[in-house]
Amino acid sequence: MSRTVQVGDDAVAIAARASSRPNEYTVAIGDQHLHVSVRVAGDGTLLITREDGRTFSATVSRDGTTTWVTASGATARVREAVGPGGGGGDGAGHGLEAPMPGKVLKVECAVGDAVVQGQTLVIVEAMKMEHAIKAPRDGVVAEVRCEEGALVGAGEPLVILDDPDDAEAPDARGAS
Amino acid sequence: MTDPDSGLREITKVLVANRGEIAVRVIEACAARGIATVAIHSEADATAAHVRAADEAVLIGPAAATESYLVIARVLDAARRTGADAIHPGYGFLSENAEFAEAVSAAGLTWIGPDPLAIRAMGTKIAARERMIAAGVPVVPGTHADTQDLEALAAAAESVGFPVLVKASAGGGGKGMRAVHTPEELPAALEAARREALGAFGDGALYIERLLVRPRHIEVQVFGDRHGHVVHFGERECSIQRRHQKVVEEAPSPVVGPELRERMGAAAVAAAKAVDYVGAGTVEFMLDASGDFFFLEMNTRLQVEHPVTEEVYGVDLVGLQLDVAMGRPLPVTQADIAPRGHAVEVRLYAEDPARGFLPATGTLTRYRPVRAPGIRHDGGYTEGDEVAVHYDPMLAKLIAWGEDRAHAIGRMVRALDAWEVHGVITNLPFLLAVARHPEFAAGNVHTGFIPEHFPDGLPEPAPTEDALIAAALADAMGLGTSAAGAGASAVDRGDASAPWHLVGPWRGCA
Repeated sequence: MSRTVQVGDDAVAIAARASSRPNEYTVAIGDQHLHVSVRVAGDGTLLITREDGRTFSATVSRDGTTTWVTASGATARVREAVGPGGGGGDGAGHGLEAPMPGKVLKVECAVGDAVVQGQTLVIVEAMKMEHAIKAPRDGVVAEVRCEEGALVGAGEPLVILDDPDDAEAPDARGAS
Repeated sequence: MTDPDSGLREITKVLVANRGEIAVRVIEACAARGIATVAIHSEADATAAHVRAADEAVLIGPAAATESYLVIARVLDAARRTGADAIHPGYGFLSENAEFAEAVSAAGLTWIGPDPLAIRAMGTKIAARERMIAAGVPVVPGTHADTQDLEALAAAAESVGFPVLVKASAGGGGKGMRAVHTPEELPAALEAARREALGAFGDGALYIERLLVRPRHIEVQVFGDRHGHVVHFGERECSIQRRHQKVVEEAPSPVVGPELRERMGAAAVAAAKAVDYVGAGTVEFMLDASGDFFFLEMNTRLQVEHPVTEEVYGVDLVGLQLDVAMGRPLPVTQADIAPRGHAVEVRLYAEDPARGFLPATGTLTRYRPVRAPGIRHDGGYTEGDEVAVHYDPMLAKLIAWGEDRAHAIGRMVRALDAWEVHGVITNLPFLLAVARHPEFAAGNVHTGFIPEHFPDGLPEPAPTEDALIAAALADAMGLGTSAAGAGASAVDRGDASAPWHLVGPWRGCA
């Protein structure tokens, strides 16, 4: 079983295969192949010994397709690759999604408005704090998909900006 | 039972009008004294840690705090139904609500907190400032508008001079607070602050004060009893904040020596005495680079960061609250009180440092704080709990004590390293980065520390090679995958009790 996970900005395939000897595995990380032996402690901790004889402990739990790992004094999410550059992708899309589940407090834009990068478009409240959803770039509001008072889920698009490739006016400020 | 001769008022069962880590903390302090406890909870918290910790629990309403934890009548009704004879408010929620304190007393119950008069005197920050000026306690240069309309507030800001801080008069915890650097930013900031203040406290009154540049936020723990004694337990340094939300606190402050401690302590005691303060309270000061300090506000409740004081002074502040509420005199005088060693606290928030510290939700698929010498964990969640959107994102506090500051920080770094928090994105990597920062080690902390050293938050740490090996092995060994059989569906839902049921066969191979 192999899957592709996000490592920084890269997508990396990882897999492990049992060898013929008990507790021994070959682990593939990208092009690299490593031989390890593994034991599982009573509390679920994995004790993994690498080829150089170093043993580290790791704990693993699942959250959908994400594996959470604490190993060698650090906790990290090992999650499905979202594509090259996906680690920090921001602002390239047309839509502006709710960053977390919450309530829409204020909609500060309307369809057809020319907006500039950094302009607040929607204010969402979650966990008693307000968060401004700002325009990631200059553009024109193509769609407003939320209304004040509505509860929104994480990732739900709130506002759609025009497609920058279609827009004849690269600078919305000039156009308005 | 009340004994009219001694003025003592026994407490046998405490209703804790709160949730999360502070509810658990109060419940444990009561249990340590053999006092029974009642938890209250919303529908969303039916299985929460504080409900499990208490002897009894009462459902008081739906998830929204305004329909549950903040409804005075429902809290009192829960106390009546369970026969509780005292109420501890924790911090936040109704803790600084004088009407609640009055209603508790009117219902014949003991209020574990200061008298409503003191809450009122300090709760309206505008009035508190004036009272402190009268008591000779130095205050931050600032002013307030007599009316609350935007023009009057704007005029007030002009007279104080930019940059200014807009604050909610009823506020706390950074809610309803905005730093404003230019007059142009003011209208939007006032509007947002008012909205936040209304939502959080039901009161949109604002005031304006001068924003000090690179000040330190230092607060003094005070404690008063019903016999006219007020003492202080030194200071806490709370300078590492993000948007006025404290992130790291410590005691003592790296810049406060015995002489300054004595002066600040005396000012704090004077502030408390000015309002006949009873119980645990905190007097907040801003300390500027020249060593001048200014009264900021007094929090008439237990503070989130009270554990650093407890660790350094060897005192159980919640236990003392119970004693004082029962009418007992403070067991110590100022001369008995001396700090020992150093303590650091960090707050674990469910928020994403890689995305502007946005709140995060989810299920804690694994949650294991470290147990080690000098390490204390005050938590409100346990493994398997859901972190939902309804309440404050603070999950827990970790406190490290050491013989000196470096010792405490060293212990903190190790404990943060090994703290396992899975399933919910938290600021744990960020806390570690702060704890390891050379400027933090050097004691160079100020309220601009985070924006200066972490202007963009902290990118999510990429998994190490070891982590990738472990993830690949978990896949191959069927830990939590559907290939592993019947238990898998529970695992896929993130049910923390389930994953290691699947480990059985592998243990057999070892």
